[in-house]
Amino acid sequence: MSNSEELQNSGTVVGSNVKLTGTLKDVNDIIVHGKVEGEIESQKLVVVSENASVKGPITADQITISGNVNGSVTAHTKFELLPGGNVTGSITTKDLIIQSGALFNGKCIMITGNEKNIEVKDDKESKKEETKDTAYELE
Amino acid sequence: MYYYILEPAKIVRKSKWQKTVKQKLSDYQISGEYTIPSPARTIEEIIMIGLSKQYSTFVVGGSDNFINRVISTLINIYYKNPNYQIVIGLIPSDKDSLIAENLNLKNLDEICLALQQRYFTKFSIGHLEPNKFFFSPLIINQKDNEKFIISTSDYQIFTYCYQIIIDSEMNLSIMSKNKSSFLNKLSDIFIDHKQIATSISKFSNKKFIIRSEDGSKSVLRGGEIIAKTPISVTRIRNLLNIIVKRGNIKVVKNEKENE
Repeated sequence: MSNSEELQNSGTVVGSNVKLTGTLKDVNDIIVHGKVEGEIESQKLVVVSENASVKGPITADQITISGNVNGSVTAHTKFELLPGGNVTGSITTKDLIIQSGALFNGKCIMITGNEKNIEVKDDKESKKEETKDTAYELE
Repeated sequence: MYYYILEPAKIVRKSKWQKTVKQKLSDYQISGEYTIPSPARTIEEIIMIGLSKQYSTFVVGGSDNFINRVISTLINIYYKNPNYQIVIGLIPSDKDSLIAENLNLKNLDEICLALQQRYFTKFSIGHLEPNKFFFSPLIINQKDNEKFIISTSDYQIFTYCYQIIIDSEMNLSIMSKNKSSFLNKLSDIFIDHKQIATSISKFSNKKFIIRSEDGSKSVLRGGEIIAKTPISVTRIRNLLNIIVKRGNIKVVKNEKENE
């Protein structure tokens, strides 16, 4: 897709020569080619392209990643991790695709049925709950 | 009756353009009172005379720069007296007019037809603080990439770019040349600058504050320098009633009739 076509089709485009810090929200698509330090939120699609990096949570209807993401990712409909993509953090989604050549380190929660809002618990809290459960079983 | 404010004809070509416009307007039977600003009578005075004569439709003809100046003056008057209900028609004279492109007006006939029908919609206007307004985009242009910091209430952007464009709806575009490597720099000597790959960024927000790291940069509106960085721009939603052309209505003939 050429730059001009990309501009027409998408809401926000963070170019490769741009570093953005803060919260980026848009009703339309968000495409990241540069660096973002902060939260990204879209009601449609978020694309993190090659050589792009995001440090912070991403929430959108669909998310496609072929760059680096360090943070939790919540895709209400579909999440796709493409070759070369790297996600460190939890993934919450209904439909998950991780292609060969991608890196994923973290926890994955699959949404079932029509539920969309799932609270992602911290690792420490979930570990506490696990220990409680095991203690109960032993008794 | 319309109240026309035309750009002063400093060159022969403009004088011819004025005559053509007046002829076309009379052909479409929408002629009215014509005024031209001069050192003796400023744009503001001309507008005040029109308002005192209770004209409700002001038509501005000229370059993008002139149209922006008149609109800026009109809005300043409007803020002093919000009771005025003015409808504005525009006759852009520049061949590459961004205003004409924005309103999808291709030639003088289309403009005259739109003025004749007087179909208007509300348009947002950009506000360059403290007291300047813009209808055509603001442009910050540099020969090469320079560092700019753009802030909003939600985020801050750090970028090396050669062009920043902000339209009246607060859509901001950033153009950067991708030439970080030595080989790319070397290729600049042999390749036309227009062919150098650029990366484009696009953002929307209610307010942008733009500042440059390397001194103040000129901000252009319709080819005229109207400010220098740092600048703060906001959007005033649905402020002006501007005459636009109606949507194209396709006349579809009944196939049976044709048969």
